[in-house]
Amino acid sequence: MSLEKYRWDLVNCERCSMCKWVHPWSIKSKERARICPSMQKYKYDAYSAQGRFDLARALLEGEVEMTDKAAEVIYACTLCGGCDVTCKFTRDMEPIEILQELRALAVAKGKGPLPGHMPAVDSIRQNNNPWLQPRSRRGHWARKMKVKDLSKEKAEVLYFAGCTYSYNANMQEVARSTLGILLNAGIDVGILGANEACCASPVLKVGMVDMFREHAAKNIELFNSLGVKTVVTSCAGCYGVLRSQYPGVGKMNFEVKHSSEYLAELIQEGKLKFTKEIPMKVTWHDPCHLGRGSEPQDLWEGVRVKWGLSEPPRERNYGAQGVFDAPRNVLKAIPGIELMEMERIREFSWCCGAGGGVRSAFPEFALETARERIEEAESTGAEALVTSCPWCESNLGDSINAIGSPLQMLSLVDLVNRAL
Amino acid sequence: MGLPQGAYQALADALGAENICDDPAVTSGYSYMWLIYSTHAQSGRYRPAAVVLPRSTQDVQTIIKIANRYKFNYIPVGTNLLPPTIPARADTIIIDPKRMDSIVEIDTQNMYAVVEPYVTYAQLQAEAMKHGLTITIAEAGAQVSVVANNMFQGMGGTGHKFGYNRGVLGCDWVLPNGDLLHIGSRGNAGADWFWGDCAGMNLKGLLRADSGHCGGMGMVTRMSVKLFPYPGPQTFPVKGANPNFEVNFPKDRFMLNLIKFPDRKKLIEAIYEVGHAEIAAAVHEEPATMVLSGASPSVEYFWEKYPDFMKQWRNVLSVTLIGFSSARQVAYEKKVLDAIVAELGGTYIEEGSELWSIGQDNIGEQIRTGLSNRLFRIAGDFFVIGGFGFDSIDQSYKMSEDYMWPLIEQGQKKGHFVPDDTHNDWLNSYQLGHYSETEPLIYFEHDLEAGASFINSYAQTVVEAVKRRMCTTWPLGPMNYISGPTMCNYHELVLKIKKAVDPRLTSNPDYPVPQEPPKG
Repeated sequence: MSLEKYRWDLVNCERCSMCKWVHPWSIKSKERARICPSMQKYKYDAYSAQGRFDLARALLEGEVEMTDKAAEVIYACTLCGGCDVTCKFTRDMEPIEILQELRALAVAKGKGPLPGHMPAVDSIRQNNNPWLQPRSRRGHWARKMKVKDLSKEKAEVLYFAGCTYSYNANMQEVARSTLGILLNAGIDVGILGANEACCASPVLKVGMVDMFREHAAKNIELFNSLGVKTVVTSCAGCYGVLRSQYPGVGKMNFEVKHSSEYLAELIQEGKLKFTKEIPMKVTWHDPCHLGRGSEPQDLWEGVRVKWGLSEPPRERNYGAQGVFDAPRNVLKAIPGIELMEMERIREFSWCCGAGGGVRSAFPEFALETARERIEEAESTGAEALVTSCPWCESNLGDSINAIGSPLQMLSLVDLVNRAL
Repeated sequence: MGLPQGAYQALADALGAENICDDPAVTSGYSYMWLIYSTHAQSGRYRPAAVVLPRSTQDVQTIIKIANRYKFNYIPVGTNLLPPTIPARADTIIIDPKRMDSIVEIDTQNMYAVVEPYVTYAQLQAEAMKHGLTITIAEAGAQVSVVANNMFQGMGGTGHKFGYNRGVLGCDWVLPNGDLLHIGSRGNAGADWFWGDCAGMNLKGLLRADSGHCGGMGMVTRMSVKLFPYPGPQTFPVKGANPNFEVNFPKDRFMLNLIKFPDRKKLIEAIYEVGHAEIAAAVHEEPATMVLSGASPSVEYFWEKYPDFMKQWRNVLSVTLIGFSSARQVAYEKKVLDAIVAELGGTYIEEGSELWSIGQDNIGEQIRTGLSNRLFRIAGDFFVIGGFGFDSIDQSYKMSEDYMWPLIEQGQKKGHFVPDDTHNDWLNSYQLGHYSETEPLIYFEHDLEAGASFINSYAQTVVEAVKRRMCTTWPLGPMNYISGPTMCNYHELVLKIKKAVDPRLTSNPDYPVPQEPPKG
């Protein structure tokens, strides 16, 4: 791939600015009208999809060089995909693919990843996780659980914990609770323990496409070899990349489900029954990679012909077919829970600020973006902000602490577990 | 050439280093414009020397004074949609108002709002609706700046009822010498923002007559705009998911009528009759391309449907009735409309039919524009054939038939424009039919040949209008040298006014009229 593939998009952007906003019909207030965290933080048009299109076009035409500043403009973006949703409502363009391609170009030109990204990149290369942790400790989160090791046994379902839920002591409970619920519901489920490897989403996000494909191919081969029907993960980041990017790397003989989808199905089938009431007002934060970012991407190779038609025709992902209803259905099923919706939800959700390598390279930007989400959550009157993504949970949780918000930061499975 | 020595530092000292940038990675975002040949600037040829982010009127005054001291040019922008905001000279900065994004006030009693330049229509309307108020929104989209759009034209979907070009009240206007001028009632001591006039001469005409000065005479930093009654829900009633949203206003207060007429003359007559009867909030002739593009989630969808749709969707008038006072108002207006439609041989497109389903979101579009940028979806580029016929309804129609459509057909024969044999424009009634505008929409690919065809046709419409002594609107920048001589050389007067307030011609130098006529 190269930027050349997107030349039509780059020269045809009419700078309507839809990429900077929630679609006008869905705007409910002045304060919650924006969709692009990067634009909100940095103000200059260059930090919007429109401006990055202009930069990409100028790079393509040789009008500008890939400088340190250009790399900063390219990487100061959470890749949340908000621009992709509103742009695609209007035009047949691919903002998120172009933003990714710009990062690949930055890597090719030796300007990316940024120094802030390198510890995670190096750690994935060496340890198969971004957290500088030894591979041997990966399965320790489940060491006290009686569960199949799929390196040795067969099962229908693989629970893929992901790096953060595996290693972060404050978050391991999410993986343990989810796995415990699946086991108690009688699901034939196992884990990979120390043989589980990073999904490689972090390296893809910073533009290291070859490294991503290498890791993804190995994972697909491994999962296929297990003979599992379903891979379940609680991590929105893993889920997003498994759903949207892995199909472009290799044939997958398994389906991928987020734990919220699986829990919602168990509830519907009567295999998961709540016995306790939790009287609490909560609001749900749609993680970008669980929501608008989880639609399979059509890795189209073709040309734009007369009137901009695509030859061959391509499928477009509009961001509305992600996992939005399942977590809400789970919350609504818990006795006592009252779901209070924020203004920007589903495909128009405001990003938590952590994605796209922003939390590691631009921590201030990440926290400011989270702060806006916390304020939005507070305005609903909710007592707790619930999500199901380790990155969102960390970043939003940090922001809650930083600003002294009364909100509790909870994982979806926390509430499920409490109500059982 | 960048900024003169010392100028960058002076701006950085005044605004803070983080609020000015001259790096090409950033300024490239202000260098490219969609209509490749539509302006003096070849897109991408010039990046601005820098971009600045003022926070206040005082910041803008400071920037403009620094520009005068160091002798460089500046272009104030809003949401930056139209071509004149691209620099034509290298020593030009962009004044980007993204930090000036406050709704300063919504006065529900006097029905106006005061906004800064980076407030969009959607934002303002969302807040106004909470108070039972609304604003007529530009067809450029609800994502555009209220101030910039009103500076340019201030037209909108509900202009039939709410008027055309009538929304601007008081303004804080930073002149090209950096002085601050209050106009409208804002100019009277203690009189606030409520009215468009003030004691003495009204200077509002300097800001904008037909199409504004495009940043050529300083920058308006605050504007009060009229709000109007709105009897609908507090939140814009939308349902569905991207890319297929549906608008769902309460039917007893909001009624869309899509009416087919036997020919375009009958349709035009109907607009007059609707105006005479003083009914309806929005009245538009809706061309097939526009309606279908609005309903198209992809270019492939459009082209699959278009051949058949073009045959079926002809001479369709969209009439939206709004019960501002009561549901009975809608019922009454519908009876009147029924009589007009019957008399002129029109037929309603049946609700629930396929044609209805394609056109039904028209009602949402007229209240909060959300579909219009889909016009670009059809071919890549889109615009209006040329000098937008703003005149009485019959004259708008005449312009369209006499010289606009023949020019379109020339472009179609060359394969430059999307085929369309309907001769239907997007023709709008303003002020209950007392004024109108017609926009024969054309769609073309983003290539040099089609772009040249477009811009030549655009200029030719100005020439043709001049020949026929018809209204030549939107003769932007150099085109005023074509239209000026036929109208008392108004362009010379405008240039004199510009020179009086902007002696060095530093505020978007070639607007509203360049100092020299275009070559060739």
